[in-house]
Amino acid sequence: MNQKRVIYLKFRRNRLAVAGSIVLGFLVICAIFADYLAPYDPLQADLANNLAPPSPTHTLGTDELGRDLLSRVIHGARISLQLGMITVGTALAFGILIGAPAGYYGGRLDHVVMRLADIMLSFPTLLLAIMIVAILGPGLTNAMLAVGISLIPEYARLTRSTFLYLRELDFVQAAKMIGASDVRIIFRHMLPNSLAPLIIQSTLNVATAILSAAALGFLGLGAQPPIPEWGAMLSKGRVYLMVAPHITLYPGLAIMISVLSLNMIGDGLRDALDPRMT
Amino acid sequence: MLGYVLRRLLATIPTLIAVSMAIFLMLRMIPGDPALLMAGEDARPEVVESLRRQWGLTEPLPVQYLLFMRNVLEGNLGVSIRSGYSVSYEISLRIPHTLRLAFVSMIIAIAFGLLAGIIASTRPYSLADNLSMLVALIGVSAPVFWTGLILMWIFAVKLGWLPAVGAGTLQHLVLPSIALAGFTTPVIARQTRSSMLEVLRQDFIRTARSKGLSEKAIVYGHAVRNALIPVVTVVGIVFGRLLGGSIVTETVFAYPGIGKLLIDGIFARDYPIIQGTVLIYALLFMLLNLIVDVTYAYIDPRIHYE
Repeated sequence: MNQKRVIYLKFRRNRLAVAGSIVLGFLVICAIFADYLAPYDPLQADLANNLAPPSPTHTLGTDELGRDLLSRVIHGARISLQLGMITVGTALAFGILIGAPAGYYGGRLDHVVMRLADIMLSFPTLLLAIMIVAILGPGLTNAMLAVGISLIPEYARLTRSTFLYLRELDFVQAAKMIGASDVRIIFRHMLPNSLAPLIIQSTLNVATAILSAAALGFLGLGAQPPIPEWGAMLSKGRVYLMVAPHITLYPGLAIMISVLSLNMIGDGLRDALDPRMT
Repeated sequence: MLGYVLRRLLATIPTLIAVSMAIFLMLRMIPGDPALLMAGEDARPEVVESLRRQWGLTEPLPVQYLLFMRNVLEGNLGVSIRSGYSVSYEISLRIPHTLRLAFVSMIIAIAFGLLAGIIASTRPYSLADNLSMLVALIGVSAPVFWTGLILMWIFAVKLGWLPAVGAGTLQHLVLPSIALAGFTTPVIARQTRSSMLEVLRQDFIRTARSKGLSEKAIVYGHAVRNALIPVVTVVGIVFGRLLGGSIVTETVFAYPGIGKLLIDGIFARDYPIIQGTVLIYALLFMLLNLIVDVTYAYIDPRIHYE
């Protein structure tokens, strides 16, 4: 049986992971087809009808400006998922770009890179993101940049340690001996073999990215109104907690469900890719 | 042992310098005249000039950095634009609150996390185990500001048992620390469980069992101490997340700690405050990591003998 099939079957046996995948699939559909699935325009205000509790016309109620909450939550899925993927994608790319040479060449380069990573890791991740947004100013793109940058050191470290290990293995030595260029070795031989921990880390990092971006949004440092980002919605809803708790409840629930499904998938991947025989 | 502590302390110095450089650069990267930024838009020209001299803002960057460090080491972190008080004063007013919150949450997280992890590991794959791990997964996935608001809604708004905002009494600490513990306890619980499972598999446990020791004695007397080592590392990581989460939690509960100070400062463009609080957070975090590392070295005998 081929290796990929084994991994797939192991993953499928994990009920939580499968449940997570289904939920994530549903969220992805919401994100892609938000325009068609949302019953109302998420930006359409209706002040006469604001702070309305859930009802037959507005399934989740309306927010402080009368906008339909369900539509905003559905569009929020698009924003959060896009955000998660772009942030993690770029962090992954830069992390590999920095970590791979560090692990492969070692020596001075490794030292410098690790020092830089250590410095960035001396700050709690959210604080780092907050600092970057404090410099750049609030906004969705700046929030993405901030979260992305705060994720890079972890990837650099992970790639570096994987490469340190791989570089001693026979197949790498063999490639070197037949004269393959370093670039070729790194991309054609070592990188494909370092995918497993990177994939697991990335899945979990998308969850973290969504949480961090939502936190920035909640603090008012991320997506700005009227963008229907879940964290920002919670922040607005907070003022009306006493009279309209649904504005706080549902976006937060959406965040939790998204992050939960990603965590379940990540755990499932970790178990499925685990080389242990038991 | 002492040698290890000293070496570890020495190793933090370059990192400290690098971190201070990063924070120093952070402020100077904002577009605009740093003197005006530090003094505020409508400050009097004499104030702006004196700031220029004090922080050497017309000098080349390396000189500025040295002046910055000199000021910091003297305890001068600047003056808050918003309040007019010195930044050190503002921080000193609030840091006890943050520390209290952080430590209470941490104690809750460690206590419950360890307990849950140990119990789950002694009944692996049982209902109790699966249920608690599922709850742990949910806890780690829920954003802290959401749990905080829900707790606030249930216990402060609806039931009125606990205060929603502010600080000062023990009741004020309850909701924020529970919210914070909500996403830190699960991490400790999971690590404890997996660590315990590793340990319980080992031969020396089998030996203890065959000697006839009670399960309780085995678990608490032998297994736990050995399982604790990776847990200590995780506690260090968790503390970092806790600090980050405390910034958000303080905002949710209007809790007057340095987190709220930082956020208020960012919105007020109070750059001296921003710089000062970030510095304190970084110092706090590095200190915490140091303590964790030393604790780790202390309880892991393998490091002792290096």
